[in-house]
Amino acid sequence: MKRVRRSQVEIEGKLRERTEVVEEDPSPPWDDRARLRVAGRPHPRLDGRAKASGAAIYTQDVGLPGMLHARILRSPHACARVLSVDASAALALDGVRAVLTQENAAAIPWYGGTTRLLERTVRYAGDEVAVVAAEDEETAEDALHLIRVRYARRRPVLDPGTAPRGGKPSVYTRGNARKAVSGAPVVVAGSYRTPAALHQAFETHGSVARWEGEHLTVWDSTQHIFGVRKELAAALGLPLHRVRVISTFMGGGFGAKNECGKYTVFAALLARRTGRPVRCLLTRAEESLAAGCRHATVQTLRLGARRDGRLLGIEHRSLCDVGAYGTDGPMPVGGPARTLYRCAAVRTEEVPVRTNTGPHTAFRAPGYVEGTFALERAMDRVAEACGLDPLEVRLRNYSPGDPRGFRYTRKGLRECYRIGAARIGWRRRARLGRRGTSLRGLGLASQVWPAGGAPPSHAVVKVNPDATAEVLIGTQDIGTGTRTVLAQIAAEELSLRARDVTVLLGDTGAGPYSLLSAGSLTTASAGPAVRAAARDARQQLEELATGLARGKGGRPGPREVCREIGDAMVIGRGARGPNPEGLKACSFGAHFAEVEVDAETGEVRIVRYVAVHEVGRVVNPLTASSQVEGGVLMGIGFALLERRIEDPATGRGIAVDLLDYKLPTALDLPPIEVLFVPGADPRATTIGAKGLGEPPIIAAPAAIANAVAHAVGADLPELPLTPDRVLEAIARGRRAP
Amino acid sequence: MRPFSHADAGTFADAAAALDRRTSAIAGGTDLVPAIKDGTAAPDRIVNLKTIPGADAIHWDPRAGLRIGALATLADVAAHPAVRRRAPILAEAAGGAATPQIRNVATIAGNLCQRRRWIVDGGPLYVLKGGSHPTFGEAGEGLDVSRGTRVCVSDPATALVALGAWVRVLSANRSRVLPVAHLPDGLRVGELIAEVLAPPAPPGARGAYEKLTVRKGWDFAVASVAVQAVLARGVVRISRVILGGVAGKPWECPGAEAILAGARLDASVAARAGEAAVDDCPALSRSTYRRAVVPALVRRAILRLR
Repeated sequence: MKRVRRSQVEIEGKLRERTEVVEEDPSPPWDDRARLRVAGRPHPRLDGRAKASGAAIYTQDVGLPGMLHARILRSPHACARVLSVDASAALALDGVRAVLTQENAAAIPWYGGTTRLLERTVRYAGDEVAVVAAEDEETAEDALHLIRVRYARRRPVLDPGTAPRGGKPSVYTRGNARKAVSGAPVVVAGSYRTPAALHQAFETHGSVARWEGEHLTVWDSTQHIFGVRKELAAALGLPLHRVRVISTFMGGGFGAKNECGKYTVFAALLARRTGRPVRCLLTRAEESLAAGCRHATVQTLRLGARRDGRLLGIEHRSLCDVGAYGTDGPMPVGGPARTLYRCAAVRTEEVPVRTNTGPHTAFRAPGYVEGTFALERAMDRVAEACGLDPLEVRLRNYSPGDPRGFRYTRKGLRECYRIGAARIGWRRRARLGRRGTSLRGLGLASQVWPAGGAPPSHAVVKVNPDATAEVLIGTQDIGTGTRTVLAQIAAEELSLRARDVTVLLGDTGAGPYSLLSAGSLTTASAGPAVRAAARDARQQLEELATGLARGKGGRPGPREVCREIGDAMVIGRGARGPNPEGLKACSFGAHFAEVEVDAETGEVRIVRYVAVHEVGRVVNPLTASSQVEGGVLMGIGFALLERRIEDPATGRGIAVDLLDYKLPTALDLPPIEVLFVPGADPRATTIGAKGLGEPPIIAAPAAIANAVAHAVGADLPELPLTPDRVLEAIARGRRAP
Repeated sequence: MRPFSHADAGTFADAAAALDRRTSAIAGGTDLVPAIKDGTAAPDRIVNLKTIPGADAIHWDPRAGLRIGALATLADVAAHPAVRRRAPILAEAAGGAATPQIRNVATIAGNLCQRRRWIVDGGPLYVLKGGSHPTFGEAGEGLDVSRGTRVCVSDPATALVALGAWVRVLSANRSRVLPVAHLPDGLRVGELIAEVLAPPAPPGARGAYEKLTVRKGWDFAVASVAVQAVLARGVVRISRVILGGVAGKPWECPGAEAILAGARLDASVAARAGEAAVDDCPALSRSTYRRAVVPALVRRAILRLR
């Protein structure tokens, strides 16, 4: 039964009021007493062999008969007016089949209507100007060089400090923070900066489009097949049923593939124009210029505390460089300040500013990574000012509920602290120091992230005559192991092995709607839907068993029922139920890093790393550990290495490949110890699980920065902590009394 | 991409005869292919050296020293027993360059002739490839030259200069030898490196190579140093102190060498030599960070000789 209700949902740290249609899920939650055989146990990825052997077909692997290849011409100027585009020489090149320019492409609104698909004004170096479709990629690339574009250049805005506002600031207040901080006996104030960082998914953005009559099929590397379908249908003026979006395997997105890209529309338009399938994939350079970023921040933070370390007030303001378009507003950089600690007076403000740089997008825990770095750095300074251990100051400010006035379904952060501190040997912290030219430091940071999932998500489970099953669901596996986790859940409910279940996902033409795979939503949203559908199928099987029961033979088991009913198969249906009213479901974590800093070169080596998370039930400890390792890896990159670089004079991207954009390599990584707080969170979801997609990156840069600050005896106000910056901090630490 | 023709060479002389300003030689291709892709190289013809037989051999001869064929890969050089024994700093330098995949195909001669890279100071501390932009419609101006320094980033070059190594260079009709220190500018159009020659080190010789990078793997040196010295009863007789990644070529440090000459290796001598190396290299005055770390790198390398 569906019903309508008003509810608050918090997705990617943004709290929104919405009307939602919900369907009750009668499944009794799997709590700690539930005896599970498959869910909650390590299981190798069901598609691991296909991925490792190359059998898995990613969007980049899709090759269709007669397929053309598209390449995009991009503006070399950060701010300019396109006076004219002459594509005649490109069109004359042998093998070129079509060229899209602003003259012949539909004026489709883009970036929330602030521009169009191809427009006369280009606002960053990398903005789209024209698109070529040719028989092969090389010809398309050659044709780009033959397109004559006349630009009227304008002076770009590149410095966020002097850039104009890019929309309304987002303000939150409780109590009088200014008064509380100003009157506090201990005040810690600081300015913290984080850089623009790139997602660098190993599969670049891209689509393959094919028309069959009035029907359009698109293979897309996306985190939201249904979202792409909706946006693409709107852009092309098509009814939804004529658009099918497929993403069977996906090589990473991290928030940059939440929406329909221009490349998808280009592929569809060129395919229609030429009558041939068209593949439009971004190159690594384009991926670095025009596929989104974590926006840079300049944060100012003031904490007021009592002498015993208890917080009295927090004032947090962040300037967010949302880039040339950035229609989603600033990310919730103030989220951690609002919710991590008990504090009566808090004011946060996120101010978007607009520059002529590549637009930002969501990026794995957007805002929270940056905000946690500033807040947790400042908390360490409060501890120092009060003469307290950093862990102790966090415990003194522990908030059992959401300090905005909500209760949590469960909060296991205290256990995270306890487990992690014991594992890393936190008590050694006070004894660590300098040995020769090596400075040792230990740091920790805490993490909160809304991760309870949400409706709507629907699933269908088909039970075959041989007692195997198929799950149909319109979610997607963006590389996290969703396929395996959903198979485990269905198998649990149906008393099967996970490998007896095939999960068909990533196809709007096959599975019913499920949410986007972002905001740590997938397991906590699609998981309960699959369980409900499997449970429905099991109940039908049980009813049939009663009907099929005969005399002495007794009641048949599920396997016999399946065989007996044959092709009159059982089809179970289920939906994700509503979130509990008045309760918030969040995932928590504490990360601990031990570092060694070279006092003469400023090099940082992470010696040990312990990551502890509370996410309710861990459905698959194997894929969950991989998720944590990947998040920590990404956090290490943000902490020590990565930064998008533009030429400060022209705004052109400089580090546009994986040699120059410094992702961490295996040699940069310490052994990462991954631990989970045991136990389910049955109030959050019926499977007792919460999301884990984003939590593992959130605390990592802060924990590393705190460890380095401990080692060098000085604050570290700017990421990444490249050796030159660390060496400067060492010099500051030496000058300090 | 501009079309080019491709021909396999049978000998270095044939290959050299084919070279001109529009013709590039290719071996491992790890430098040339990216340059073609990003538009900084656009040859009309490419001559493939990999078909020259026996050009990747590595030999040790007590009188002539090490002879390393131009096509020996960095991985070959790093792993070869004679190199490891007779010129350990070369093995260390070659083995720490780039990545295992690149070392498996990149050749020693190609590495010595590779493009210089940009270092940008005063902002993020990165060594960048530079060059123009493949995605943009117009040829890009790339990095702003006024804020960058172009540096030689070859790790083996730094080590080979410290070893006093030479290269044998062939053109269509002559052969000559050239100190590695004169590369790559000393190479004329129409010349190819056929082999690398490192003279035998005298008894008591030892060396150390130190490389500092921002990223621990797959990165160019922010600064590196190769030190090679001959010690007799704990006293330095001859020494070579060469900085890498700080100037357009491996940089010799006579001031540092003078401090080491006749000295016993202790922490104070090593520290003074490190300070002197900074004064030896005027290019360091442009970089606060490099100026700060070079003394430590040099000192550490020297102390490893004990």
